[in-house]
Amino acid sequence: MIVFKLYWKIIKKNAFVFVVYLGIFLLVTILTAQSLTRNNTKYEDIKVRVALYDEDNTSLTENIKDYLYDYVVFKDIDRNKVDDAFFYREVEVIAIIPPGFTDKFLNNEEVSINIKVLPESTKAFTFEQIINKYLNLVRVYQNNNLVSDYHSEIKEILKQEASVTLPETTLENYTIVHFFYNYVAYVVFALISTIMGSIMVTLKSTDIRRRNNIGRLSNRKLNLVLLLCNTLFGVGLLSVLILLSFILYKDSIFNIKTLYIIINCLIYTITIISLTYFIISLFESRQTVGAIGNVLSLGSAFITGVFIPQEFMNKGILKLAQFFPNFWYIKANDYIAEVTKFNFRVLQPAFEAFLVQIIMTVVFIILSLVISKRKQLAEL
Amino acid sequence: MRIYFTRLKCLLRDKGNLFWAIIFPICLGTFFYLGFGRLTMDSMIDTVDAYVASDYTLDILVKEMQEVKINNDKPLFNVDVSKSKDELEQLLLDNKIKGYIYIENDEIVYRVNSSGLEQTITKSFLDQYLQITTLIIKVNTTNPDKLLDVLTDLGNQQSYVREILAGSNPKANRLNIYFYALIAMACLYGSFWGVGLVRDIEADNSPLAARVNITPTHKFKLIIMYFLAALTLHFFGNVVLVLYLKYLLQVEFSNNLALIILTSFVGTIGGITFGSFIAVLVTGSPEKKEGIVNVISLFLSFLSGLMVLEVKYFIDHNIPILGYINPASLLTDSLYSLYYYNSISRYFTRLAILAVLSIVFIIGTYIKMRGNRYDSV
Amino acid sequence: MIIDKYFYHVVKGWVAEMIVKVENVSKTYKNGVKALQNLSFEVREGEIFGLLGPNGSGKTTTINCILALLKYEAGNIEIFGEQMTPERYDIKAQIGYVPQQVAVFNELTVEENIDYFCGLYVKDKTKRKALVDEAIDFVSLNDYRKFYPKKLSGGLLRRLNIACGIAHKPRLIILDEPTVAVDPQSRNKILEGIMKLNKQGATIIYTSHYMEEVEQICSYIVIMDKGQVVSHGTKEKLKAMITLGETIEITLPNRNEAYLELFRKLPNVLDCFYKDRILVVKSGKGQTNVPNVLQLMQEHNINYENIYSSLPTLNDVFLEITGKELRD
Repeated sequence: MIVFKLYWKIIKKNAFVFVVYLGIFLLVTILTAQSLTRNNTKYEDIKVRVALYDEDNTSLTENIKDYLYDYVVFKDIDRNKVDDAFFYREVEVIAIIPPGFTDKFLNNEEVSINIKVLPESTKAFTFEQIINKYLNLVRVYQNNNLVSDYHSEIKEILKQEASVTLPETTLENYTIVHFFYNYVAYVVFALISTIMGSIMVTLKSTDIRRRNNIGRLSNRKLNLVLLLCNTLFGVGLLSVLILLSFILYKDSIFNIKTLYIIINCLIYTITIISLTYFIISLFESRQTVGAIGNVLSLGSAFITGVFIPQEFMNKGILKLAQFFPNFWYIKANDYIAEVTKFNFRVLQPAFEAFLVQIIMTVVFIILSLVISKRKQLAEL
Repeated sequence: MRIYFTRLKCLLRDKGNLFWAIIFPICLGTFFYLGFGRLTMDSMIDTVDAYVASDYTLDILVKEMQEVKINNDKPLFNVDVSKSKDELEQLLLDNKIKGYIYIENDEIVYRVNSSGLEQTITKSFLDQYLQITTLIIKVNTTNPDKLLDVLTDLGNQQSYVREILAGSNPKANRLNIYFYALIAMACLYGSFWGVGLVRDIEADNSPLAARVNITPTHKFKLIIMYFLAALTLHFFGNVVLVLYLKYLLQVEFSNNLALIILTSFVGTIGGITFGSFIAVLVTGSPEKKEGIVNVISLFLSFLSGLMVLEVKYFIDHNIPILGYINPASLLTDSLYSLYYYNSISRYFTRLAILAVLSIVFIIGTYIKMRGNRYDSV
Repeated sequence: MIIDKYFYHVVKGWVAEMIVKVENVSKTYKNGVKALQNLSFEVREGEIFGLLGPNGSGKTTTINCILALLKYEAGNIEIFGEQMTPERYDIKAQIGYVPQQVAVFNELTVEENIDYFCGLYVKDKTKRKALVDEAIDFVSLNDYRKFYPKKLSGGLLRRLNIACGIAHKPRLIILDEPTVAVDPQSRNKILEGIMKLNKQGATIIYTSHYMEEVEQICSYIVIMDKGQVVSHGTKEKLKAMITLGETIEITLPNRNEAYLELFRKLPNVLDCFYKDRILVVKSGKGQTNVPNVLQLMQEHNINYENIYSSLPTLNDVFLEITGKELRD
């Protein structure tokens, strides 16, 4: 009981800071979610916005433009103002056809259209592909004198595409919830490692001072109670985030997927708590713990797929990322978000990820117990 | 002057400070690098598992899929033709495979259960296959004698597109723009020093500060000297970071190293003064101030697009004024404009605003601290 | 009479300038605690001025107000005849302060610390070097010049703390409870040092809740309680103010309650009680207290092991005025 009181007292003492932290992270989560709602770039063929400047003005370049018309959205922007438009993302690609392009092209010389692309945009790649497909075919037609009016024929060829079908049970619109919960990985890690970290560090130092009072509880019991306190804290934190998600996405969230994701979240939160325990057992200073919490939460977020989807990441890096619980959390989330049937066999990979997190929890706890025991012995 | 050197000595002998100044940015930089640095379009593509239903005639397609390679080495597809459509459908619904190919109504159909990189790659290939098949059929009907030439020509795919970047560094990867955000954040974390500055001068924060208040040193002089010491240290740390990124990690982001270092310098000034300003506004223990400043710095970095780039644009569109008063945004903007813009006027305007802001911050700090008497010490 | 008074004041004006004047100062903390209530006193040049009071009486608060560190709602404080504000750097240059908590740079050595603080007052390098050496000598820290504060014991740290505050030989030195948790040897050295400084011309303000120290060195004493001046004067005057004249302590072989009645009947006895085996008799002023006691014991055949008589202490003064002890 006394431990509870102590824990609560420490929270109250730092209430202001904790609330600010929580508030800011919630704000961060909401803003992220809002910003990304307009940005679901996966399969939806949202056309890339291009500002094209033709400095050659030949029939070839006219044909190029005509062809592109079906695949991109042209933005008509004053050449002087285009840098601004680019900066504010009103266009995603600036393309300039240099003078003499056509001549060089027809002579089979090396020549290119110069483009400038938004850094994070995958559409740049598609734009390159789109143009290259056309021009390569033009070259083939030209070199072999196939047809004189090749333009419409080429357009027709390039319109061919494979049909894609999806089973009816596939649900769309879950992406936003999916990403929200991915982002939660960072938030939970950051908040727990810093807030809970600082509470625990304070407790450790007061504990030593009040050893007499708490001494009645055996060390093991003490740790258990603390674990309980921390779990309550973690769960409390999580509930706030979950509540937030339900408020923000009330349309898409009611879904059995959410249930599994929440379970995933719970497991993850506990793993992070145990990881924090581990960090605390290594370091005493509040500052150090806070600093490490910051670095690890942010840094790991980058390499485990919180900010960039795992499928885009370098495989080697992902191997390294496996040491972090967030990796498995995200993996499970990604999997659950994709799945259409919900039985054990299908969800097995997700359950495996759950298991890995649980194993990590146990490992962290054992490590922290071992280290603190050793430290205690060293003190004697 | 002595105050400056003594302060520098003190700061240097405190290990915790060194961590924040130097090690933290380098750690984060390394993580960034691991996350972004090696990210190119090529690196994203790896061998994809492709499933073709065995009970349909798709031999040509299969052959093509087996032959196409990434980078002359690795095959793009790992083709499996062993299962029937019904089996594949089952596997798809069980989420064991991402998609499979079959024929319906004489058309090639690609059936998937979600969208993702692998599916995009496969579809892209299928589209190409269809297009080339169409072409070949056409040529075969009209000019069959040219078929061989056409095929050879098709094999010589060329690229007619070239990416240009501001400045003449051809190796600069545009994803390196994320490193600009990192530099901005490293500068902003100078705010930590600003808190220390306030802690050691505001009498109600520590007995040492109280004692310093009794001495006849003019408070403004004290603030400036402490600030300069912090600036020296943090700027040094930032330069180390920039050099580490450039030379050790081989990140090609510096079109103009001098400008980046200049940004770093102004940015550090901004960060420290910002930290001290917030620290005087927040009342309470030094730990509290540190905590608040830390999370606000994080928040501002976030608003400037550090973690999720889209947020920056969201702010720019909806609350543009924020972009002009957020030191992190000013920093990232000035660096970004090195990439986006051809002229560097924007770069300088942003930097100038930041410099002005810094002056405002430090004057604000002084005004708030001037003639301060405290409720309790 | 009037001429005498006038003459007295004129002479007083020549002889001793008023260094610090505290006039009707009141301060209430944010949480409602009334720290100082209408506090007034003066510190004259050349004095060792003692501010005595139990913990929580407002001594440190007073000091901090004098130094313009704290806000106060009412009243006026002057130093060297001028209004004291945080920006009077000219006044600050003539003050030396030794705070209650040790306030030194953990990252600098003993020598560097003293040099730094002295350097804030004395710009001339050679002069400063001499002052620093003298200060180190003064607190006998010569063997610890290169030590970092972390490595010093409590007493040594306090000595360093003092050195940092007085190295520049200021006109006014304020020491706030400098001997808390200090070993007796260091304590004596500190008290000696302070008296030496005073002889060299500094005015000293010394706060403490240890009455022995204040009694030992202070020439003028103000006793505080609950933010108010309870009494003030030289120690002789203070002791004269109270009724207690003498405390007689008799060590008896066995404790017998009946004796109390006997002793109480003696003339001039104010109070009588047991402190373990010691019979304590508090008498008023006079020469005959001990003889009376001796006579009584002889009359009643009371064997005693020890008899000890002491004059009133400041604690007694405090006790009589407030009903409380100085030390809790």
